[in-house]
Amino acid sequence: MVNTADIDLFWWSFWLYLASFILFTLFASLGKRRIGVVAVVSFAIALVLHTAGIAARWIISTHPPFSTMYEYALTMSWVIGVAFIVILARFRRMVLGVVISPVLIVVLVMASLLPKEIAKQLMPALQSYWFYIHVTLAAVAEGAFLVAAGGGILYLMRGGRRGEDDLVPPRDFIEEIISRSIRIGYPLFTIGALFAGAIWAQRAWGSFWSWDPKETGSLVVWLFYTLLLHQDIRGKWRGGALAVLSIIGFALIVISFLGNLFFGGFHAYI
Amino acid sequence: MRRSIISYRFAVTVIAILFGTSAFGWILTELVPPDVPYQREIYRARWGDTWLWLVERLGLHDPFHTFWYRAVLALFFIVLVACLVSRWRSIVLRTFRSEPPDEARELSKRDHRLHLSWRELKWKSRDRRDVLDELEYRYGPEKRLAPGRMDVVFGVISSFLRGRGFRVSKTKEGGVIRFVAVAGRWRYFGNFLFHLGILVITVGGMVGSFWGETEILYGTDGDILPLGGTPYAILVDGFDVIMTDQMAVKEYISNVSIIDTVGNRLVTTTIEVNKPLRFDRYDILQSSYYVDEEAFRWARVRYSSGGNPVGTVVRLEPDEAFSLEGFPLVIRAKRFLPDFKIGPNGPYSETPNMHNPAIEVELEGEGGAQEGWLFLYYPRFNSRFDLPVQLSLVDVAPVYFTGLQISTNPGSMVLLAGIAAATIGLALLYIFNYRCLKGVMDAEGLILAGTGYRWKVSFREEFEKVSAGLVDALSDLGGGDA
Repeated sequence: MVNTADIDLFWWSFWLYLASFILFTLFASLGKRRIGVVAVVSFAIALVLHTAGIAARWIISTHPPFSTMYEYALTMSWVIGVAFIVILARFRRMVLGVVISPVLIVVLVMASLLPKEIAKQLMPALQSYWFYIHVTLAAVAEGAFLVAAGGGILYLMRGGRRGEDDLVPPRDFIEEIISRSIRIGYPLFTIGALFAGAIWAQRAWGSFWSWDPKETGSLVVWLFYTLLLHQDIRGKWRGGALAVLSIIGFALIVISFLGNLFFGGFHAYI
Repeated sequence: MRRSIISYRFAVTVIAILFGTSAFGWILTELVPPDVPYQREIYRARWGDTWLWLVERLGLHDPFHTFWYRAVLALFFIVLVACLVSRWRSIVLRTFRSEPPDEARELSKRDHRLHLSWRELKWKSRDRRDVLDELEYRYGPEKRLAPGRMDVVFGVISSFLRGRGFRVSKTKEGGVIRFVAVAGRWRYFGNFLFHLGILVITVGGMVGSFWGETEILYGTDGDILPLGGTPYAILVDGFDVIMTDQMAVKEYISNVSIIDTVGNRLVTTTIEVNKPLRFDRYDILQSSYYVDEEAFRWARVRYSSGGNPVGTVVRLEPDEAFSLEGFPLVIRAKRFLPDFKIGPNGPYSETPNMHNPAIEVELEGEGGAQEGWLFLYYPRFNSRFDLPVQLSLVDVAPVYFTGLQISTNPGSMVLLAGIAAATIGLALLYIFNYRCLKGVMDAEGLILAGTGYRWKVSFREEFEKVSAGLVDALSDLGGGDA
């Protein structure tokens, strides 16, 4: 198979993300700011190439690239990249790259293992504007949940050290990143994955809900984060518990995402 | 009992149970084969009699339609109703009305506090006089803020907080001003609307589940399909599958008419995937299609001799004999297979889809009859005839059967209303960041306390800025006049 421009851009961005992860790790261990800056620059270039890759795929396929699992993973990882840049601009904490970049790389590795052929023709069921609303919002929401998982990893890595050291931000700051990411992801997931998906399903399949494995997976993810938010309002499951649960949420999202490959059902688009 | 049902703890417990059972059912749908022929034998062979009994009793092959899952859903519904009924008044009122604190002690529970004594507050002017000194200078020799002066100071506080997006309300009693400043109060209404939306969605889903109907009917050109229990019917005027150059399905379209009992066409339209027809209380959707595995309408076959690439194209109908011009031969198209495969019993169609369409032709001449297969997509596999003629399949028109899904869901409007309410609620929850400052002010000083319900770190920063800004604003009180 001859690689199209989007695939080349995908691999270039992948290697640059990987390089930025290594540099972020060096920055965190050596504490040299210059290395951190190089890591951020590397990450930013990777994100630009990543964006260009998505744009190229859009142009080649003549439709927004959300129709296959590879394209979905590409979009989800792009959201993580953008979220990191936004967080960096807002809070100036380069060390977050140590955890955000590997989460992004995990998603890209999943993407790299999936078929990447471009289908110029969307199958009839996908020819609806609801497709773009449903998939885009779901990908953005899951990207936000994955950022929360990155925050969870950082929280646990920080361990019991109290106060603020030079590199690793204080725990309440990390907790706020996790909490913010979940509270951004939750409404988008509810509206995009569940509501828009249900309305579209009614138009395409004649039923709002069919207990399709992907639908059930989304319901499980939604109930999980609903539980998390209710406990947060009660003042429970904060701190370390929130960190662990945000990582469990990440695992649920990955299972739900890859569920296509072995659960089948209406959402069996590879 | 009532208090338990409306408690937060119980609601969280029920959500946890619903999460657990949903996750369990999600896994089960993969582990336990669904309703298939010889299901019991499959289960018995796989798990033995004990597990077979369990699977059948608990309905594990279809977990989301079992009594135990429905019981959990019912519990969720009850808790949702109980929470909304018991809390709607306080939640909605909180959007429109904020209660000032009863007493200063209440403020000590808040996350962030500012204690300000008028004696500590300094003016910005060079002499940096004490506030009370300044007030004494301006209004007379009083040691404490007099009620009239307190209104002036509170006016500054109120104006400052309003400038930062807070809505301020106060009560004044016995020389004490109690006030509350809130921002993002619509968040509470969003919270209420979201929960109400989820409740309405649940109701709509239950209505659809109990009284909704759905069936898929197949028909080909000219067929009349019944439309539920109505006196109307669907007449299939035509069906077409549009393919791309790469032989991918681009679209499949049914041309249909709704007819009454005497055959009058009430509606004539096309139905495509994602573009259903709504008639009466029914949604008529383009669900699927299949190809008749034996029948076909016509086939176009090219025949030529001596390597002539152009040849002549002839249109053959099933079993129609056609004399090939210039050859002492008669051709007949005998059989059609949409997805040709060779099995132990000879050729058959593996699927009812046009993956490998082929027709069987018979050539009859003086030397007898010869039979062979012609392939639309793979002509290199065409049968070779021991005759001076080359044949190839140019096109074939299969007999398509359109699959029309006819469904009615009396809960759909309820469900859509619930989705709309929940979406607006989520938008309000997302946009509005509720923060609340409560204060008690008397002649001695001010206590201000605040709680941010969303972002702790950000609110801490905001409270620090508000505190500093408030001190500045109060310092400015007499600065210009001094």
